[in-house]
Amino acid sequence: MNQFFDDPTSSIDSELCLPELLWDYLDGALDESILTGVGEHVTRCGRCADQLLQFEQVRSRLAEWDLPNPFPRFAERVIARLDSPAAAPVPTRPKPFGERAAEWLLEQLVPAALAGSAAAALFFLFMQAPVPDPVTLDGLLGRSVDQEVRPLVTSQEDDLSHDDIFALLLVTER
Amino acid sequence: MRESAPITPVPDLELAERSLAGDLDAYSQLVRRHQARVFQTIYAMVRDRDDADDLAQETFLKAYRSLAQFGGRSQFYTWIYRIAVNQSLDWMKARNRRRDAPLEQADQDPRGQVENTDTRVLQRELNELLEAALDQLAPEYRAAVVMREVDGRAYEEIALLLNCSIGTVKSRLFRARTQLRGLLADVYGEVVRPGSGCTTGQGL
Repeated sequence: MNQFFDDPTSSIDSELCLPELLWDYLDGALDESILTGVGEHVTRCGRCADQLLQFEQVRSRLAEWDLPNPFPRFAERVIARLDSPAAAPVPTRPKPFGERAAEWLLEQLVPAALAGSAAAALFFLFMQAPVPDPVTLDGLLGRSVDQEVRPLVTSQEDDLSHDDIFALLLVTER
Repeated sequence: MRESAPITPVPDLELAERSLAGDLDAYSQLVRRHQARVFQTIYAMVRDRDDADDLAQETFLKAYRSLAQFGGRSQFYTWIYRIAVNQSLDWMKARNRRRDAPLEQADQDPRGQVENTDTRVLQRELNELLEAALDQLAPEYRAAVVMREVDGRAYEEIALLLNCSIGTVKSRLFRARTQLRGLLADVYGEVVRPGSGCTTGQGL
């Protein structure tokens, strides 16, 4: 016998006063490790014994519930409702090979076709875009000088070369 | 006199396959075989004979339309039982939403026959008390307690059928049973409040 259950005042014993445990006890759902302890506890604890009795009464009441039978001709009425095209079973049998192959092709080809179209469109747009000048130092300096410097330093001398303007700038910075 | 060989019933799976192929006689056999248990499970939940009749019919109709999904992976009764429970749960939830709808009264004579004996009257009164108590339970609790106590299903099965954990099943069962015990207190005497201590734990 488990020593914890010998002492009626032990805290372990009082922990067994749980209705959940009693239901599990009735259901046979308790582990072996606790099953014996609960069984012995119930023999000592009047309140738990009363609860267990009430649980058993509720359970037997439900188990003995005198449930009615279906109305007469139940099956005939079900079958009568089934005897219409709308009630036919929905088939989920394998489709013919041709149909499955067509579906597979569609599944595989449509995304590929879409991706190809998108790539072609992007390529076309790329080819149509204006080609920028080759990036060279002269080119960069030329744009920079033409757009920013020339208006500042040569408002009236439009025919100055880039070298002339740089020379002027260097003199100005000093 | 020659003894006739015992008739072996056609297995459910074979009847289901024949039904799927359009054999209504085969499906009729399946209906007859399972109609009582399906009807009674539904009745235990909805507690109205006409509604139970409608729902049981719908259960068999739905099962017929979905026969291709059955596939024989479970027992036919388990499969149709699940449909019946789900139909009943939906019905109970819908009824609970109709707050103004009065609760159905218990059938005065569900079996259509009256035996005027004390035992019979007592049995009927107990049934009415039980059914009235079940009416007070939330749909999920009632489904759990019917599946466990009336149909004798295991925790694991109920969890599988209701698509929830075993812990949830145990919790629902505990609440349902505790509530039922309280509601049936007049029948079974004094109610002991859960967790109110015990007589062995002195001074608790």
